[in-house]
Amino acid sequence: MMSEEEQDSSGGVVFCSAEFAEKLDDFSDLFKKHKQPMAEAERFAMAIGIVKNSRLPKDEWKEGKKKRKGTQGLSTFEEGGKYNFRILFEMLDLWDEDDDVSLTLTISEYITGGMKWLTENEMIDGSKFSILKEEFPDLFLNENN
Amino acid sequence: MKLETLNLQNWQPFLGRGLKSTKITLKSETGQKNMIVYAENTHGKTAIWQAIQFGFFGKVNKRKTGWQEGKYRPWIWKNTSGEPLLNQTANEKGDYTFGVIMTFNHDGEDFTLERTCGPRRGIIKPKNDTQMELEELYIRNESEGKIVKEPQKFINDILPYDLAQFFMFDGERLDKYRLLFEDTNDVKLKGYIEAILRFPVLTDGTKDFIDIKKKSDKELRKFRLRGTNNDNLRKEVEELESQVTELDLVLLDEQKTLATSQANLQIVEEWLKQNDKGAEALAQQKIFKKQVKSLEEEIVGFNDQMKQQMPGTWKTIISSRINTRLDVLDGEMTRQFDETKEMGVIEGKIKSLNAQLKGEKCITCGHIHQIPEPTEIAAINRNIISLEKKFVELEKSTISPDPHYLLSRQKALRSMTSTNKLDSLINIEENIVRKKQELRRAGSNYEKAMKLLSSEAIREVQTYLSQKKSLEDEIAISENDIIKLRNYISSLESRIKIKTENIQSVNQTISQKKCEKKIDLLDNLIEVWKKVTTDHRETMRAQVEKSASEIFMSLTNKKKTYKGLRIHSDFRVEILHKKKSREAEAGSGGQSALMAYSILDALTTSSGIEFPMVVDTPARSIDKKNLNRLFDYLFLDSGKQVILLPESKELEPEVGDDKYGGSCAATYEIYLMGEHEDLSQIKLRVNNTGKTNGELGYDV
Repeated sequence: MMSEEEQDSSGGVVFCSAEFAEKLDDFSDLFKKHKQPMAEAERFAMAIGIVKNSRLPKDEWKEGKKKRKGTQGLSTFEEGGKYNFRILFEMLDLWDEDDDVSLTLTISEYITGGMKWLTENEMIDGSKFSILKEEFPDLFLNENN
Repeated sequence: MKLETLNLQNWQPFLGRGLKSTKITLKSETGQKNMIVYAENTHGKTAIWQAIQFGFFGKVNKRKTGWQEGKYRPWIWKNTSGEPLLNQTANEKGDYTFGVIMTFNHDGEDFTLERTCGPRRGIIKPKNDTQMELEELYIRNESEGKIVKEPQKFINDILPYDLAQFFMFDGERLDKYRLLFEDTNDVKLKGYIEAILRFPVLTDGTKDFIDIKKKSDKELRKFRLRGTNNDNLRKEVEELESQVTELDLVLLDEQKTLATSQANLQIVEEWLKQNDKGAEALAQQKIFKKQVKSLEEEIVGFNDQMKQQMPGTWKTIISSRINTRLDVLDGEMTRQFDETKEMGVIEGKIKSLNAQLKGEKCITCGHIHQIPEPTEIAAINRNIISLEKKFVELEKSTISPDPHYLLSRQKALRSMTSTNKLDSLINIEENIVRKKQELRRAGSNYEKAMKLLSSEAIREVQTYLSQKKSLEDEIAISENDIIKLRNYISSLESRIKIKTENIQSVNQTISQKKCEKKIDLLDNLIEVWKKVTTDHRETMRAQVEKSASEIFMSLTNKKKTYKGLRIHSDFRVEILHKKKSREAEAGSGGQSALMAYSILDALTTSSGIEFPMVVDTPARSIDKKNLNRLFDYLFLDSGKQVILLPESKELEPEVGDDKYGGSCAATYEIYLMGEHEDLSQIKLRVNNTGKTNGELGYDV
């Protein structure tokens, strides 16, 4: 029997660990203006996971109250071809075709890692984004400008 | 009127009636008429003040409500907390009868007044006011030996209840009087002032004359119509008159409705004034509630802005990582582009060298090459070989990596980058944090305001505020309707006048002639009366202003600063400053209190009503120096009978007796009875009555 991450014809599914399922649910509220709030929240978490280099391998995931969240096919996650995360992960040397782990699971591990960091820094309700300024000053305009 | 004796029967803290009642005398054989009753707070001096109020008017207001109608102290209560008028010990002992007996002199005749309250017939042990009844007021004219018929009317003719507040006042409520004089919107007070200065007699007179003239006009029209043969005209006028009569009734009803609404509004406003803390808390609560709502809306707005900003932010976050890779990709592509360009150059050079070898036309400038020497040919060939080698190397390099591969990656990566920065996100977040803090503060303030008000009090204040609003609306509607009705009636009357004034009766009857004369006379009378009213108003205003100014200037300690009082035509009062540059002002608390005393005294003097000035706790809002001047004025200069009920901190008994004892028939001091904190007794201090202490019922 195929595992869930292998079921999607375009390359499996991405998701977030059950441990952060509720948090992801809450966090997706900040992306309500987007047509895919859950996927957009996951992309944000993934971006954080990448820049913080906080990939959380699946074997380190813990169980949560809810089932894992945000499960969707890669093509959906890529907004039907608008983005190409295979290229992104390859180009950033985060994944290689020869790796033992599938691309979608790798993405999921970065999403979960990002969610862990966001949760630890209490950014889920959108009230501590100022931490980003301390962590990544280049994301902001230089105040001297 | 001069009060001569006061006899308290089971009255508040004074136990005993009949022979054991508490007796106070203000009558002196040597002409002194004043009285001072010293007492500490809660010992019972206000009970003396209230005994006079009860004796004359049969009701005692709750102290905090002043003279407000409908807020009276109960006759009987299960304990003292309800502030009953019946002495509590008497109640517990089964003696439920209480009251006041007073003697007074009015217009040279002596009177005895008795006001008693006791259980209803058949009730042995009354528990509440419904089981008690007020006996009919009894007044006997001792000089004539007759019982006064309609005794309450007799008292009201001497001093109407509404005007008693100008003669019997409570220093604790002096602020209320001051506000009344400063707030001319208080219609009720204006009415009282006009009443005390006898304006209604004049204004009512004008109204009476106008009413009589209206009737006479109607009578004259009848005479004129009788003298005409024009039936249509007669019918038309009769119809119009019938309409006017009907509309007059509607107008009267509307005026009654308006008067009722205005009276109710006064009661509601007075209640709200008395409960201003509750109303204030409610108003604050409303403000905070509004703030909370507005802040919540603002936060929702900022959250919405954040939600607008959030999509796509992930691109900004990973842009720097992608850009590093894009730089590499761009470098590769630039290299490939440069190398392709170099290949073109090499290709051109090879072609040129080949043309040189063959003596052909130059591919750049077009001139014909000379066939090279054999030594040159070898060198050219070597050069061509070297360039061809380089060309082949470049050819490989320009497709490694595959330019399509590079382009597709460049395109893919660029779609996941953004040049946007996240500053606006932080700004929104800061706004949300700030608004949440404000929300917490507003929420906490709201809670505090809530604590100030019990839910019952909130409902009560809300009910009164809602009543006030609907009464104000009713009044506005009534006033508007009255104006419309008056205008319509006036237009009908004009039509009647036009239709009837030109009717010439051939044979005028004597009655018609008399009627016409009467109307002429009434027209003149109305004019004269109006002028008299206007003149009287101005005369009284000027008189009160002069008198109040003199009193104020004799009382104030700021004689160099102030020059008197100004009373406007609407009886708004201001203190006048000596320096022209300084505008007239309302004055500080102490000065305003003196102003209130001055006006009260001037009004009562100008009214012509003779009644004692009964002043309880006189010193509120007045400093010691001004207070001493006030006492000097009251006892030595005012010419009125003064009954003063001070606390010792306002007037020390020794000082008071020493300075003013000579102008008093007697001075008294109230003590608590040792073992009974609820019972008080009176001790005579200064006795100028001409009778011995024993004769007055006091220990020798």
